[in-house]
Amino acid sequence: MKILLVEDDTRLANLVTRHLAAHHYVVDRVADGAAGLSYSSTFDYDLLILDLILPQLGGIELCQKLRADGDATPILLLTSEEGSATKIQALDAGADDYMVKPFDLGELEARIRALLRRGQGQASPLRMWGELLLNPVTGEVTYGDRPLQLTSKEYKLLELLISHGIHVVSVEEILERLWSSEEFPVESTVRSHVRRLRNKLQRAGAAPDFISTLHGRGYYLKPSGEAPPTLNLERSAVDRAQQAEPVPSPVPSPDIDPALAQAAMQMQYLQFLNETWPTAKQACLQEIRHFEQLASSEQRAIAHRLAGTLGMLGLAEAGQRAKSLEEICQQIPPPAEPPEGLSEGLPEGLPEGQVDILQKIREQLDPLRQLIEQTTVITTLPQCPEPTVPMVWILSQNLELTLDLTTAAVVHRLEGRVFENWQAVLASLEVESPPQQLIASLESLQPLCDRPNDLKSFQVNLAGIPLLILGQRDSLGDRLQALRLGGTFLLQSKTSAEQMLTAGLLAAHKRTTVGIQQRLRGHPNPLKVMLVDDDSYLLQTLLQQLNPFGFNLTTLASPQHFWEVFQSVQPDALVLDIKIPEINGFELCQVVRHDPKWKRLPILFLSTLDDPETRQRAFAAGADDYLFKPILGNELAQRILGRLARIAALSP
Amino acid sequence: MCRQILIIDDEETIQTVVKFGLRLSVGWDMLAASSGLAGIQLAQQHQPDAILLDVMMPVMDGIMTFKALQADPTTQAIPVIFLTAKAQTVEKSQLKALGVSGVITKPFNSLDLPEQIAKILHWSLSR
Repeated sequence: MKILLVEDDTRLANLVTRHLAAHHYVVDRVADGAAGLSYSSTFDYDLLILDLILPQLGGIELCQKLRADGDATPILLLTSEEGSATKIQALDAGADDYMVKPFDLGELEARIRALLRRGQGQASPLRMWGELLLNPVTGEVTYGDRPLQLTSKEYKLLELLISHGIHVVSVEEILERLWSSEEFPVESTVRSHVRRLRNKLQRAGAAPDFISTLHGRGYYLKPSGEAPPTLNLERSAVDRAQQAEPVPSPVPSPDIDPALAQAAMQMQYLQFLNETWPTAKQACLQEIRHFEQLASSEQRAIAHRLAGTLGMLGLAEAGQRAKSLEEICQQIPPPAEPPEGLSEGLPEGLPEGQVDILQKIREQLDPLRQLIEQTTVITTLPQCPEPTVPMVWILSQNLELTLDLTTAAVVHRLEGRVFENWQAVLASLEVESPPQQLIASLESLQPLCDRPNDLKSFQVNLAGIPLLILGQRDSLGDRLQALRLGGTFLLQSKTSAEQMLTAGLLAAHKRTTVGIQQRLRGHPNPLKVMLVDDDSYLLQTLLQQLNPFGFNLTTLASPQHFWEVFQSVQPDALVLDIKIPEINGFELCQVVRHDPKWKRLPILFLSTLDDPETRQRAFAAGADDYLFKPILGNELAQRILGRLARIAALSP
Repeated sequence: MCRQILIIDDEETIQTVVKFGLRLSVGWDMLAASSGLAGIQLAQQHQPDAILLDVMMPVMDGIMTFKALQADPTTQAIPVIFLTAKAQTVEKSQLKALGVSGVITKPFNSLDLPEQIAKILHWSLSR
């Protein structure tokens, strides 16, 4: 980007020129208004910065003259006068923005970026082309996820090419845009810069002709099939988001591939998150500074806000840290006041428990701050945390016990949730994902012994989840009751919170992962499972969740080449969605079943449809099992293995 | 069909990304308020099709705001969906017991919100 600075104060001009040059701008500087007029009418600039009071021709007059001549280049006026009359005069003369001296160079640069975006009808500070991402705010360039180390000239060249997209940029234009009027480079200089830039892009994974040559004309960026159409939108994402009136629905026209339109929308959303991040980042760092100075009750609220904001911006790890921080803050007893200035070290004379908590806070706070500071580009979209955080549910009215357990849960990176009665547990089991384990006091569960129907419902809903029952007395009666309730008895007085959690985790581990892995070990080769679903997000999630079970997974999002893939994989189990475009799951199932070779293949349906008719159709088509979405990898793995075990048992 | 949604959340960043996501994906009209009180006023004035309400807010939290909306004949028919972080002690089932239409867990991708809202409120989503 090329800027003309018209400023007679040499010291200020040098300062601004140096700062802008360091941020990849090419700056021409002249000291009076007449030279400013002559330069701006001779060369092409992206922006003009004019001082208000200049020898020969003042800033206002220069501005008026340029506008009268039809020059629409963005103009930023510098003034020493704070009064609104001057500002009005500047804006009326045709300036786009003004700054009052003395000013912050960072702010000047931000305003320049804003004006340049406006001048190009583009609201995003980020420049994207296919997988290439250029962030003018930080000067960082990445291709895919790989950072590119570019020289200042290479950066400017890339920026210029992106701004022209598929349109050819001539060598003359590159020379004019990238070098100031006092330099005299030759055409071969441009060629060597292009060559070096191509090499760097290629090393990062770009095609050799990412920057293409049109001989005798210049250079252009090759249109990429993956390039999101965001760059071609008439109105940018931010304009749409910020306008007050309802926007017309950006429904893609029927001739656009819905998957591509969806991907473009996701890219646009990611771009918007990146635009939001610089401001949000400062706000988050400010929150952390507040956190260090405030009383405990407010700390929790700050941590909560941070967790929400960071999570919604797609910063999963930072969001998780903030959430852990929030959980730790919840452990602080109400009357306790953390000392002023956490950063000055831990205070003396505090109860041991509180010192522990302060240490835990510090352990989360420092990495959290670092994560925020180090994040310059958001690369992933936010995801709902469910069901990645293992949960432990605690059913007890004993406050001391629940506090101990929830604190220990934080240490084990579990999420603890406390219930006051079995009814609340049952209600939650009916609407939420089940926990990893339930730790309950015997007296909380005792009422169930006299309510057989509720006990049955409780046990059905809790099936497969380890239940630890904490008793006060070491008696046969209590142990028997725990057994009848379906749990494992632990003597509360002899077991620490840590041991309770570990015992529960071990039980969970034994029943799920280890059990399945043991069963997997019975097979000489990894079990091959094929998943067919048009929801590629679900496929990806299941891939991740089933990964620990050692399956060899093949996923297919479109049924077009189902048979070829199926024949080549020869799976041990097949999981089918019902609603797949063009060929539905029932048809795929029937195709497989009609081949005698596959009569015994376990076929499981995975669907959101829960009506009996659909289930019947699935079984009629030859399904072995019918599962509802959403489903956890753990459950799916167990069902697949259950089917395989049954078939193995039936085999002669 | 163009719906009008009101989001009440004290975090402006969350308001911003939710507004952007819903406008971008389905073009719904968005209103936003940073506090329960301001949200109630907007709800009275604009009668939105649904309200997304953050549970944990300073001064007047989501539950108090919801109760106030329910107590007011002009706003009691507007469906309310709570936005909640999973770590909160308030249980989903308890929230549902209050009479809210649904609960959506943060964080989420705002582009997925229309589908979640439509599912909760049994709206048809013509994209």
